[in-house]
Amino acid sequence: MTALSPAVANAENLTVRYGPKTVLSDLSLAIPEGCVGLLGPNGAGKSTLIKTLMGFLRPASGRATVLEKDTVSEALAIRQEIGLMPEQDCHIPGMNAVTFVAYAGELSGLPSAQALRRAHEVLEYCSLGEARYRNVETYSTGMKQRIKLAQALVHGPKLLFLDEPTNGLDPQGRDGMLALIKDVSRAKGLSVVVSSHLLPDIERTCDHVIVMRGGRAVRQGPIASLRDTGADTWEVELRTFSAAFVESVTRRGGVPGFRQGALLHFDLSKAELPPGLLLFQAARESGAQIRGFRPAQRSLQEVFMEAVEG
Amino acid sequence: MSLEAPIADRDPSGNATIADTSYRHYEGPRNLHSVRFRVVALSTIRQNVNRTRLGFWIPAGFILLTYFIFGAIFYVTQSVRQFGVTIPGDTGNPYALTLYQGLVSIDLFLFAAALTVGAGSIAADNRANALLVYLSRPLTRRDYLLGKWLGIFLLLAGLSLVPNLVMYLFFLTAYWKDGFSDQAVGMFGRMLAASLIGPLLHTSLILGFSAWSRSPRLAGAAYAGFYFILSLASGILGEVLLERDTAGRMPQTIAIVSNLSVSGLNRGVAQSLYDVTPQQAVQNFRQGRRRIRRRRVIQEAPPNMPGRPPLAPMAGLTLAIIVLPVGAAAARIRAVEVVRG
Repeated sequence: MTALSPAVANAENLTVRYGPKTVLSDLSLAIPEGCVGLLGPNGAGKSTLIKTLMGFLRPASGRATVLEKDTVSEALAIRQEIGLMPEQDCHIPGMNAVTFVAYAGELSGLPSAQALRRAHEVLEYCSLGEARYRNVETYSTGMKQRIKLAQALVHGPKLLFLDEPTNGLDPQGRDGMLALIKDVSRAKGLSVVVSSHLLPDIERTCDHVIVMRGGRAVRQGPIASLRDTGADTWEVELRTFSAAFVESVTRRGGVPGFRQGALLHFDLSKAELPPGLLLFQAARESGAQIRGFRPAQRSLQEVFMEAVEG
Repeated sequence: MSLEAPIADRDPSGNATIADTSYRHYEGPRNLHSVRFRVVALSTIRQNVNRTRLGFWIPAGFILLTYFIFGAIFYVTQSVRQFGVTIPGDTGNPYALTLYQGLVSIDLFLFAAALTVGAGSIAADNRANALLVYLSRPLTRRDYLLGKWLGIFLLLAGLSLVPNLVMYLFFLTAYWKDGFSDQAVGMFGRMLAASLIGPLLHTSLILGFSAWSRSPRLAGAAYAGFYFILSLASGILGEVLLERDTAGRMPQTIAIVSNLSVSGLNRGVAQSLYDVTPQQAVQNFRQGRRRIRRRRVIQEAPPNMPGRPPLAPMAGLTLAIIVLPVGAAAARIRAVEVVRG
């Protein structure tokens, strides 16, 4: 298990079954503080993991803790401190937004005056201030997504589970929702777990990812370290592409790789010179102009595909 | 002029309705978990007594009207008696009979109120995925069900209890010296118990149907079908048995069978509580009509109809009908369905 601490949720050898079908198999993971992306193809066990962490499912073996509380024996205490933004639309029929969100707060134990005050506050925060007295059933998809976030936030949770938060949103709505998630996790200090199929969303909002496949966590860690190639591959950006530069680097022991326009990757593991010196010598020799260079990183998609394809 | 209050004037404790517009953590007081069902119950009541929800107020109006009519009939009858006029077929306790007849007469309105108040209670939540909102919070299935049940029950109990209490107070104040003083205490208990049977039955049943339906309309239609078909079937079966039982060997069985419905159970238990028989009730009702129409009355033989069912089996069946639908509803509400992948 990757050591990530402090963790807001932990699973140790967790196995969850639906009848004879094993959905989570000997799963061990640690969800650290901050914004964590939960990735995986359909049937990987993401939703089952969320259900288990919320205390809805009893593990067949192993154990899980959320905020240092056991998911089996302290499920209600856990739900007191977490917020869930589910994937599908959910609202209480016949209520306007402020009544709905205040009611959600009261269900979490807030006194009614406090619940009403926070409902106004949270709706304003989620940019629904002007629509707060409208019946939720009349809301657009984007507004429904926002009110789901508002009801998850109203009681002041320490951990948020967001299940496909950008589902059905147009680009503008998506940007707004991602900005909210970023703000919640970074400016407000809440820990957030985002379960999504959309890798760019995860890349934009999360610091860590957990990639699941077949009920197991196959990759987990900070996005930056997962994207690290591990090899001595360098990304060089030239002003304009120069074949002479490539040839010059190759002569010095570099192996050219990926190329897109003036962006080039070189494996410099067999080169005798340090990368910086090698690249500048090659540039001077070929007359190419280097705009920048850094250790090459894989895209999150590459990380994801590598993880799920085994 | 700025509409915003100066910072110095703002409530530093943050208790103002809108303190500011930025999200902050909440570290304030929280209610105990043991009373969370109350939030659900109060919300159910609030939503249904809303002025725009006529589904509750229309049956309420009819129920009050029914009791007003029975009260008026009783007043006229008692006034006639005070002049020494003997009314043929005048049997039984007039106070108990009037309360019983009121209770039986409002059952249909109570049923209508149960439909409008309860059909959507869980079905609408199912349809709108509202269970996600409830069960992702520190709220158990039991809290949710108890809250829903209590909310509906209090509404229906109010509909049934308020007119009965008014009628009781009418007897208490107007007929204290005419024999009501002897039975005032006992009658209060009987009235209280009898008034709550209908609400208990309707609440549990509509909740059960609502939990197993995907939409309020479906729940309402299913409960209406159950209510009317069972009433019709038990009535017909009772009549058939009565017709065949010429020797009168199984009067109790016939009485039970003919009351095997929601309204029948309500009626059967109320008959035992008020110590009245169906024959007395029918005769009293006929009298009332005749008195109002000022026709000449001829003494009639008691009608041939199923008698009063024994209390024990009726109470047992009533209890089963109250408990089983709640159990069925509890089985339907499952937390694992709240997160779908």
